[in-house]
Amino acid sequence: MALENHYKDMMRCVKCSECKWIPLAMVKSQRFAQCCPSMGKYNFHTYSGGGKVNMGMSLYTKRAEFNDENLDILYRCTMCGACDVSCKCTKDMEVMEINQELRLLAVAEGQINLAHSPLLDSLRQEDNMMQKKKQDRGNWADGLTVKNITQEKAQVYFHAGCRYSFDQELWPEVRSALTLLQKAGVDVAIAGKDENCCAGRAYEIGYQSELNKYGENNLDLLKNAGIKTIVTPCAECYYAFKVLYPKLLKTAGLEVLHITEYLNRLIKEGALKPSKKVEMRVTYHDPCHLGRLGEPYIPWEGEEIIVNQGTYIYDPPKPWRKGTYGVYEPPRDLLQSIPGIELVEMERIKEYAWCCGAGAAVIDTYPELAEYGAEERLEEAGATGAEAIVTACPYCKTNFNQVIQANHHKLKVYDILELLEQSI
Amino acid sequence: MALAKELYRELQDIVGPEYLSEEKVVMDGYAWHGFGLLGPEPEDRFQTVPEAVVLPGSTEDVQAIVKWANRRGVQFKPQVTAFGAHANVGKPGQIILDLRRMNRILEFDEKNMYMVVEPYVSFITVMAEAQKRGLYVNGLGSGSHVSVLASITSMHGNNCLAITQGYSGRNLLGCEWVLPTGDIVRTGALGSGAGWFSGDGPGPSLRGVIRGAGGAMGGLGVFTKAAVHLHPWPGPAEIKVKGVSPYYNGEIPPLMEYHLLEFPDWTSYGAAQYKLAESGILFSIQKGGGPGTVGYSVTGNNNEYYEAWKKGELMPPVSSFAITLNAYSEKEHAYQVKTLNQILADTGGRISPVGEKTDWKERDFLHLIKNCFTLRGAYRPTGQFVVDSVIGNDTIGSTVLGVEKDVELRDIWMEKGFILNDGTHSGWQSVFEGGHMALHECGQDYDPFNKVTYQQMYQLLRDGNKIAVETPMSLGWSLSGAFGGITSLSRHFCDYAHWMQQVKIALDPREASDPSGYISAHDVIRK
Repeated sequence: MALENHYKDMMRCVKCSECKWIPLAMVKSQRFAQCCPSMGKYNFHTYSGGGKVNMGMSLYTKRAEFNDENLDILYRCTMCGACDVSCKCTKDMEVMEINQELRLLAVAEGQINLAHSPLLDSLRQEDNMMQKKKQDRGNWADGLTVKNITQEKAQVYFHAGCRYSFDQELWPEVRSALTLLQKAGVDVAIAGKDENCCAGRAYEIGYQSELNKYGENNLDLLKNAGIKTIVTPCAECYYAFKVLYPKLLKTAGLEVLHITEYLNRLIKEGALKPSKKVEMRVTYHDPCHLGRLGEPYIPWEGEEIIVNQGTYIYDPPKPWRKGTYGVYEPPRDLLQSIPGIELVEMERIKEYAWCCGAGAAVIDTYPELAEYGAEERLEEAGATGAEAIVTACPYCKTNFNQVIQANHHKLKVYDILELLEQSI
Repeated sequence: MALAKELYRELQDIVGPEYLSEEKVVMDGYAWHGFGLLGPEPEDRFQTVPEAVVLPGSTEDVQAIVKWANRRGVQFKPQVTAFGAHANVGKPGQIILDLRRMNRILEFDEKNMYMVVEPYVSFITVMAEAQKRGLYVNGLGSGSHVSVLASITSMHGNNCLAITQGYSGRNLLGCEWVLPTGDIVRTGALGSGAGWFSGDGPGPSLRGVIRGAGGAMGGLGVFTKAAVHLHPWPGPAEIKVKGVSPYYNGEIPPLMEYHLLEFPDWTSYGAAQYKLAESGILFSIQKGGGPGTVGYSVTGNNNEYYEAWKKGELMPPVSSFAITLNAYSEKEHAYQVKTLNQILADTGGRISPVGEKTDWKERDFLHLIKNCFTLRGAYRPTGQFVVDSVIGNDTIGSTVLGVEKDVELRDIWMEKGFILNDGTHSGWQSVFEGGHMALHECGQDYDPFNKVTYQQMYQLLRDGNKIAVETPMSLGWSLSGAFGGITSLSRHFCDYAHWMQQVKIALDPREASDPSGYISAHDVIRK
């Protein structure tokens, strides 16, 4: 869907600024009422969700053209979708899709943000955006006995994702995830060095052809191996498999689960039993791609019609993505299944959680924004009295870790897998 | 056209390069406005483009910019959350002062029941913070995401909470005011160094000059700090909210009540409002949910509303309004309930079964406490509405008449086929402060993408103006400022525009502060 197809959405922006706050019903304080890291950092209206909608209209009507300055404004955004949830709490219109279309348009017009070039070069040459050698991709699993789907059939495919694969600090988590699945008797396989990037991040910065290429490649791999269930510990990969592939590549019939969903299922079924005490007061950070962005994609084709002399509805009814059905409870259930863990909630959670600041390649290209996002979240986490912030996304964890180390925070950060492994 | 390089550099020296922009898409974002009828065509949503947008971070920044503007002959417009066309610049050549960086709660005096805020502090955050301390604040009918300071200093404002929390201008307990010349005035007790506790002294009480009934809407300089009067909150420190967006339900605490009340006719409707207001039992009260209908407000999207509507659900009688009760003790709660029941018995009213359905009850309750779903009723139905000038700000009796008049007008225009017609007349009405005053506004939802309908809305406005003048209604906020035809309508309302013009000339001799939302020294007022 191109920008022109969102003409009515753009016209429907009433510039109410609800996109700058968490849903009003959920505001609990002055300090943690905002929802948008970009607005918090840069302040001009154009950085907000509504501002992007207005930008879309300005470009669509040829009042303005892309330039280096407004490309910076466009990309200083983590695509976290908080603005989208807040707007759509009270209105029927699209916000984030317009932001995405602007990025696709920029790339289509050859308006390249040079900061993205090293990431794209890495993807095209090494099949990952981590600027690492493809041949090293499978090293994280060295020493583990596990099937490889390029050689063997399996019921479940475990997709590690680029960051887990190449960031050695994260290897213990990804190895323990796989080990826990095996321990529970799951017939699981990996792709090792033949695993490819999901390309979700490339799509978020406007490169749809990369998503098409890598998506088709990944799906072929799964099809050839007869895989019906994909499990990934990476929230961004989860979003790509769960939402972007069905949306853009029309895939259907694959069960896509985040590792927290699968492990939680295994615990409930009794296949895994956390038994050792992990005495810790923790707070849980909802990764955007697993939470509000992670709600299932439901294909829809239809049209807008007018009823009652003015009300616009959709025929058939449009399955709105308003953040309602994201993955919120499984990670929490999993945490609370660990003896000794005390879970305390931050003010901004679930569909209106504050983004860590890393998404849409911001961690690589606008580090000052990534740092701001993480600082804000760490302060919110600290206000709960928790000893640690726990997350289920390698990008969130990396970003928090970097800021904790740089700014000497006392708070610890854990991947949820680390705590589970301690308990089993 | 952009500011001359020299002027831009001077502004940059005041605030720093990161807080100044003249980038085209940024300017277009500030030129965009979503309110109603802005030009001959529905597409006319980009209004006047500012030359630059500057983000001051302090009163000192604001003062320096205003003095610079006077020196350099550049007009400026301050804006905060900017929800409305009045927040835009009025003509080319002007700059916007976006006060977003000034976003702190500076002081909280629980004993004297006030909070001192900077411009970019919203009602919803003040509500949340005050509630924790047993206090509360008036909201604004347009939604609680908007600025407290802008509402109490510069704009007409009230909502369903006005019965206990007063309306906007009544809650101003002094402010720090950068005049259009750049001089700073501190009003109320603050002006004599006695703190913020009183808006009327010791020290200069300038509330009438600052804002009158409707506020100067950015036409009289910049308000940089203000103390807002808070009022008692008997309820818990936090209302528990269940569900995931957009399906938020508020848990009604044991000592609170929500009911939709329905009446057989307008006479009993008005009589009940008088009795309820006099009884002192109400915490909030309103008819309708903004210009749209409450049915939209309690559903997650338009399709859901439509499906329910087809089954005959979500349809309250036209002569109905919603109330909340909020007590400190079980005894007080019992008294409130008993009094409510007695008043219903006396006036022939009853608790409407429509409002007792769980989702309606828990969602409209939440809205009547937090003003959190206004946009659902106002904009979600059709995407756009116009306020038809049948607005009144007077007695309960007068406003009930206004609602009746609106129903007549609405019937005609529904019959013509140009406005939303789902059988729910949803003119909005609220009662203030014990019932000595009330307000009604009538928004008409229309399809903004239908060009014929769009053009017809201008005629609907003219019809509404005629009713407002002939009835007569008191001056509504939509008639204020250049947008509302102040110069032609002033004669019907005690020539108030002349007085405004004298204030403008005295305080802004160089007319540095954009007069478009207020009045210009050069405007010719019709006799």
